[in-house]
Amino acid sequence: MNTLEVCGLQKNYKDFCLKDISLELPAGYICGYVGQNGAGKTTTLDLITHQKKSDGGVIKINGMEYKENPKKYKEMIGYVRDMCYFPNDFTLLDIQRILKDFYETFEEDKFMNLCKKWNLPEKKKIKDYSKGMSIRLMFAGILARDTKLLILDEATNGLDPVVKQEVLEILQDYIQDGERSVLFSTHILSDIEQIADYIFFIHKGKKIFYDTKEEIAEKYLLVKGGLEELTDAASGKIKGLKKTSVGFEGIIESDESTCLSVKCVLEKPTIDKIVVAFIKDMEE
Amino acid sequence: MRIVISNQSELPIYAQIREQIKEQILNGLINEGTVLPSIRQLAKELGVSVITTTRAYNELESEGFISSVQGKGSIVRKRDNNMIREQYLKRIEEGLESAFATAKLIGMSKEELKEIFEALLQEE
Amino acid sequence: MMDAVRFMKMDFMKMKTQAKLMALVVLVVIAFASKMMGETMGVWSILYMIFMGIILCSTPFSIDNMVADGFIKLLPARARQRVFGRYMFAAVFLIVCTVLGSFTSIPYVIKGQITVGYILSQGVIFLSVGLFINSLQYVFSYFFEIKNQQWLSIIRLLPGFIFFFGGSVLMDTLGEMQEGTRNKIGMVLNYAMEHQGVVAFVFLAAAVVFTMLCAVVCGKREERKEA
Repeated sequence: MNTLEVCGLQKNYKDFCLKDISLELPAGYICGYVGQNGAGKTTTLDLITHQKKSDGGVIKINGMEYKENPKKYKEMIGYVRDMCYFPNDFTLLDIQRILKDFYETFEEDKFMNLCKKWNLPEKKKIKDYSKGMSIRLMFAGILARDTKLLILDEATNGLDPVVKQEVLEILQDYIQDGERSVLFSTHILSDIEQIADYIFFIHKGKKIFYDTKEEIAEKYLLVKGGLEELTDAASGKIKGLKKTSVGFEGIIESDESTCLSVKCVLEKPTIDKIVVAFIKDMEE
Repeated sequence: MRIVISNQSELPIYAQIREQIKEQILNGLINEGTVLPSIRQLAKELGVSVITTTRAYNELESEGFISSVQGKGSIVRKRDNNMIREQYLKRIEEGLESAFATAKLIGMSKEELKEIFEALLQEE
Repeated sequence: MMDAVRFMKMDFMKMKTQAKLMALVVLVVIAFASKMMGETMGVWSILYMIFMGIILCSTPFSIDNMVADGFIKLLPARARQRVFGRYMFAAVFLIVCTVLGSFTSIPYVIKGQITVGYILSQGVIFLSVGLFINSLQYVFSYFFEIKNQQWLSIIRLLPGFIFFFGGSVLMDTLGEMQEGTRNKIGMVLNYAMEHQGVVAFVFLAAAVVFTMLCAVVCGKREERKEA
């Protein structure tokens, strides 16, 4: 069963278009949705959560489209972002009341236990919460009820490393039962690199690639060498070529690496480097 | 069980996991019948993706080291002597291949290479 | 429908910042009312309370404006329930304002200057007009999103002021017209004055129907934005 299915998603704005975005995310996995600022990540997520209306395409969560049952569709989604989305003057208790009112599967005890565990103050107003506290509160609201798809929109931006690590552990916990999945958009790849199962790379509204992280990591190599080793044949095959006075660096497909001189150093590339190389190539 | 991943290693993470588990099984550090941590549990503990651990376990299974039982998880199989021998043979081959590649790099001739081999055998 | 009630409850929760302001308003009204004399002043306080009510009814919109996306609109309910809940909130809030305003009229009843029936019908008429103006205010808020905070704070005040000053001027002119009982308008007005209960009922019915219509229109618009 796929937790999320997106097919041919389209959205037209005056100066930006989201074109033909498709992906399938099976249950129990984490997908990193990566791209530069303005590439279309937030737009895609807004369409998936139905905050905005798409101009084409089908979106299904656990096999169900929004129009079939809008309430149930939204219940399945847990959403966290880089800003706190609770009204400023509310307190934790206010939010608990609202969540209890609206969400069938919301468990007060679970919520309070999580808040206590994370030392979230009961009577303080949301506007006085720090960034770390806000994100914990948003998670508490989600983990205290049943969801199938956890969507993070740049949620780790600006978090200190300790809190960031906590978030990554929460995500891995979330998929433990193999029934729920995570879609995590970010432009900071190192945040998601280790734990992502799938990577979807979007650039200027279009899908560049979508594959398991393993396959992407195997498909490409990071090549470094001296300028003498940079033959014309080689430079044609290298993406994101960077030349300095002492050598060069770039990304090459593993299959093509045979054309390189043995003096070149071949390394495992980070997804970061692969994505940057692609972007550089596309800009040229 | 001990698994330590290195991000600096040339070996992909799934391969490191595979090899380290394999090593411990071969050395008897992990007994037959032991139930390994689940794919997801291991992924969480190592801080790697689920697909990575899945691949490691799949390869261990296809090489005959473990078998997965529905509902129970992955269990270490009985150490088959042929299987063990095969593994070690593979290692020997890999070692020799590496030596050949190095020899080629510096332009060593086959005769020179043979001499070194004989000398080393004599020492043993 | 239950969802609409839930949203209404949430809108009331959003008012807690205004609670202090509201208490101040009520005190001011009481202070003024106790100083004023005369029958029109008896219901003047209702007018004033509804005036403040209309202005305060726009609070949920300005709070929603300041909140980041991702929570309210993701609550599991249809978009139109949010709209219905807000209109319900306004109705309840304005009723409360009317009732509070009419309390200050009680001394005048005791003095025998006006009847309870008079307060009731005047209150209902003011409430109906207030409801009507507020519904228009809400339609405007739903259809035109003003992101500029300064413009927003000015526009928030307009409907209330229109209601209050417009209402006061109207009452004065009607009072003058009533004096000339010969002309047609004067006769209509006299009829109206004698059958205030009927007038109040008609006004209320019209206001309720109009409000429901506005709610449906705004609800449809919100749904279209998402689905």
